[in-house]
Amino acid sequence: MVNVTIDDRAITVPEGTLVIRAAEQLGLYVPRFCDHPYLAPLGACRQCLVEIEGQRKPLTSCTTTVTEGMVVKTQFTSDIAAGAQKGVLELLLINHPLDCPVCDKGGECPLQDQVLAYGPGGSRYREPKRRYVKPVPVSPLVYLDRERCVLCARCTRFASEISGDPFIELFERGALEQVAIFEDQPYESSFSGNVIQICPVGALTDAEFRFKARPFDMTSTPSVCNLCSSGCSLTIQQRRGQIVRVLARDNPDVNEVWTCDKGRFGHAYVQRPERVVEPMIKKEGSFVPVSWAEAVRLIAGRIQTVKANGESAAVLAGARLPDEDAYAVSRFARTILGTNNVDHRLRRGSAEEDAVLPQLMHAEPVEYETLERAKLVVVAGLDPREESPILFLRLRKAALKHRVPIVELQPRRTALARFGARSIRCAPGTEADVLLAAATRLGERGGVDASAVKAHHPSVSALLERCGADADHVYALADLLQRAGSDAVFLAGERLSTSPGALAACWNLAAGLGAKFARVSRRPGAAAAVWTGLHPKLLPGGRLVDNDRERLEVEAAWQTSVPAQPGLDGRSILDGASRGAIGLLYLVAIDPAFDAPDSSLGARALDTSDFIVAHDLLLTESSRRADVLLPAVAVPERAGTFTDWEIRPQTFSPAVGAPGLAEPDWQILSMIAAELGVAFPRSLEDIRREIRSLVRPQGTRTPVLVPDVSIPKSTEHYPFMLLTYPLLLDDGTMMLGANDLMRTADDVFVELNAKDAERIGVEPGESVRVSSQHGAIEAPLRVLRDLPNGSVFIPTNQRGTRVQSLLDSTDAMTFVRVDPADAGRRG
Amino acid sequence: MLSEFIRGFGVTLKHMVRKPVTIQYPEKKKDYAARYHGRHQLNRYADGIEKCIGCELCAWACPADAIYVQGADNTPDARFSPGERYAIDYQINYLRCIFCGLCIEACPTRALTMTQEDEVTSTTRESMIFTKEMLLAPVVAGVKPAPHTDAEVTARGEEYYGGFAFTTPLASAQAAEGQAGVSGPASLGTEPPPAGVGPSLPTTRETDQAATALNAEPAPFAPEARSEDIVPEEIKHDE
Ligand code: SF4
Ligand code: SF4
Ligand code: SF4
Ligand code: SF4
Ligand code: FES
Repeated sequence: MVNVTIDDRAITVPEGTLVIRAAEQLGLYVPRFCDHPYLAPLGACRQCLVEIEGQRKPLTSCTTTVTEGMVVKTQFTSDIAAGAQKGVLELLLINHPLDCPVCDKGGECPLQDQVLAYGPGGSRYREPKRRYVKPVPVSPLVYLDRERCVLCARCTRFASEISGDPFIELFERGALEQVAIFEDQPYESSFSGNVIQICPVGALTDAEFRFKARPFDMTSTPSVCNLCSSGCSLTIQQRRGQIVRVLARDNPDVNEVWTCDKGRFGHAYVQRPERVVEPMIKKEGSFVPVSWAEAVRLIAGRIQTVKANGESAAVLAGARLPDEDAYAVSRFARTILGTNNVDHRLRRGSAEEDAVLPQLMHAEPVEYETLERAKLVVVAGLDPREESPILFLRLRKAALKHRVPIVELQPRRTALARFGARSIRCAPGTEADVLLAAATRLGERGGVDASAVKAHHPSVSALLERCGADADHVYALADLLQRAGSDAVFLAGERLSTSPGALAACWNLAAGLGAKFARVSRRPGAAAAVWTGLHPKLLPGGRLVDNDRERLEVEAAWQTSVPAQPGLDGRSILDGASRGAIGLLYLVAIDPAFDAPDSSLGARALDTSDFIVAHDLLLTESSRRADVLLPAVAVPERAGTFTDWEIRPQTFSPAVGAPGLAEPDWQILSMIAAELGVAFPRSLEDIRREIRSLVRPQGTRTPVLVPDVSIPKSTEHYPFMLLTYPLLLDDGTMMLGANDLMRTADDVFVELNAKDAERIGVEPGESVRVSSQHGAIEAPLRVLRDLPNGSVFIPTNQRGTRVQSLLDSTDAMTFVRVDPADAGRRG
Repeated sequence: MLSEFIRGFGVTLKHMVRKPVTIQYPEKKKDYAARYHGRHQLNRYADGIEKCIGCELCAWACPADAIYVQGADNTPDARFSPGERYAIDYQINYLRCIFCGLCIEACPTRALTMTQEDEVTSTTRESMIFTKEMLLAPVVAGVKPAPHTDAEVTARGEEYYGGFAFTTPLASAQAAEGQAGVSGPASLGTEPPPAGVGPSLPTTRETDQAATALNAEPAPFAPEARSEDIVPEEIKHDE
């Protein structure tokens, strides 16, 4: 600790503290532009000059660290410091345009504020100002006005230090120094909006927010992002009931001060005219608006008929529901529909998933901060940049700032590799083999309790041969794991559940090492969906349906009986529905007709179902097919809680009013329960109380059985294994209306490695036709160097493609063939 | 008795020949003090371009929350005001306005001033909300009301610098050199480039020109650099 005196007040701060931070702790604000708590000190703007005793000249407080006995005088007590700051401001304004009235920063501009507080009253400069062409779009989302730039280099430091997309740079020198992008490269980054927010002047402005409102004319509401599972804290700003801007809100535990462009710019769907605003009933093939009373009466009547006839009911609920709604749906299915046929997945569940999921919330939690302290992070089946961008930023920080080794295990190289993550490449579907090989190797060396691994596979080499991974890499992973021991962290993507045996192998390896384990899903409500029981075998709190003691606990809380038979998983529900075996299909915020990983199963299931109730925001492929369509409110219009991948709950309150007659999902269910005269929580508070009492971490981690799966082999006709997952900016319904944002989205592509591309005889950029037994799509080819031989990657849902049409969710793997597009047509 | 009558009628007669205090409102109207706070007017430059840049500062200053402004982009084909921004919507609610004049003081461009017009009455609430069309000063004969195209503006020798229109300081220089249009971002017009097509920034040479040769432009908001406000005959205002 170091003792310093600032403005005659003593303070003791840790060694290495910057003077500007020490002053902040005393409540003394030194004006600044380039200083930013999350960026490396630079000293570019000279605004933070303070007088330090014993120094001949004023020093920049944002780059000077405290020393023992230092005596600092800020502008409050030193004329020298005040004069120096005034001088810097006068110089900054020499070339600064008189744009405040038309500048989007006006009203929240540090330059305005600091000139008013510390600056000179007028300028002695009479010469004409420097002029530039403006504004220049550096991307479809960000405009650059070089005249207003104060050359603080916050934007360029963000691009290189935080996001790692250094497309913005400072060019030229002296009066002509300016921020620029490289000539023929637009500023492409999933985090570009952050530079707008941290620019201390109106030099980088928001293309979408441009001229929409003034800061003093907006109402801000703290909120939580509902577009992925990162759990970013946001501020939603509205003017006259319209959301005009979304900002990242400081939350050091989660998103620090950043957010991704999807969360920042992807809010247009909320206030689109396409929103469903009143309850509707299908009459003679078209929707007729009705009152809530009528819609609820119809549904209640149908529920009674279905139960009286002994038909089965089923519920599919999207993993984008806030916690309270997920819980309400789970309880509604069990106590009102009397069924365990409820799932948040549209695919098949597996025994290993059933074994791991209930234990997840009992595992020691992994938090963002844990990653920085870990000795090793293993990322498996997860592309953080596309699936949880803030997790990506934190991993980058852990790797670069805290030197945490990161190993990614996936078929496709991800952006993690850019900052030195070691990649273990394996064929799609063989992740389990790599993990088992590493575990076996570790077991041989006594690095892990061998009984925890329970490998059926005797030899490491046999495993390695099957997955095609580089043996040295796998051995290196085993070494790293042995060294990290219980300080290793496993981040398992939800996708790992679809790779046979991989989730179990990963879980067991973590359990054997005593290491931390977290499951990261792309969707914001996935964690809550599991522990509120949107799962055919799980009740709230990870309790098992077929465990009498655990079920009785839930029955006691709900004061009603719960069926003891595990229900159908998502895929089986759709299968059942397509055979007409489901009398009532209840859809909450889910679109199986579009999203089901199967060519046409979703649509077929909905078309053959007798009676479908859907809650939705917008008309989707599925809600169009509903018999009763109920309007739900969007997240910015309601209160609730989201639990991010860390299992950190964050509550939010409404920022804008809901359109028309829309209601929160839990409230709709509560209305139906009231109509039926069945006990059901009547308020958000009721639900929260029930969640608190039912969902508590308990129990210990136990290894699960790794299934001995034999991975199907490719055939001559379908030689390629397909890997697919959605990119961050996909063509989802929630992206409706976010046009500027979608212009930064990638076009659809098909990825092969160079060797395979050559074998097929197509050049990058040429169109290829990918076909499976179920369907075919066409898209331009891209070559990715280290994709494993015989693997092909296609993003699931880029504009104009639907990879679902190639899939069949009963198969563990999908095999496809890739041909030149024209050949396909000829053939 | 008679003298009483004469005195009494004398008073009456005196008043009959005195100049009357009352005026025949509404046939006749009185001139108010020069700085009378009547209803507002949104002024124009002599060429018909609007002075209001949609900055919302008047709305911010208003203690009665009577003003609503919505800003938008000027485009090369529709230039309403100098610079990047103009008011696409402008309303004053005269049921709220207390005629304090703070908005006038806030306006950085002298776009908003107050007239002598005091007949702000109506029978419905809606009609007491004055729209931009009602508040805008009428154009004098022969002048085209905004919007103009940037080509028209440039042809007049005027240079409304800045804006998404990319009416850049370079434009006139390049025009003088016989080059058509402005290269780089200028040719992008109002549409930001599609993803994957990066705008190229001007080269150093262009920047140099920008920084030196063309700096003589007036500052965008200096009112004295512009022509007189257009004050229609029938409405006097306080400037
Ligand atoms: S950056 Fe700030 S000081 Fe500069 S024109 Fe914009 S509002 Fe005014
Ligand atoms: S554009 Fe903004 S953030 Fe970047 S250097 Fe200029 S003033 Fe700083
Ligand atoms: S005169 Fe006063 S009350 Fe009326 S609009 Fe202007 S600022 Fe508001
Ligand atoms: S009238 Fe003046 S203050 Fe109001 S928006 Fe227009 S320019 Fe700004
Ligand atoms: S804030 Fe210290 S030099 Fe910029």
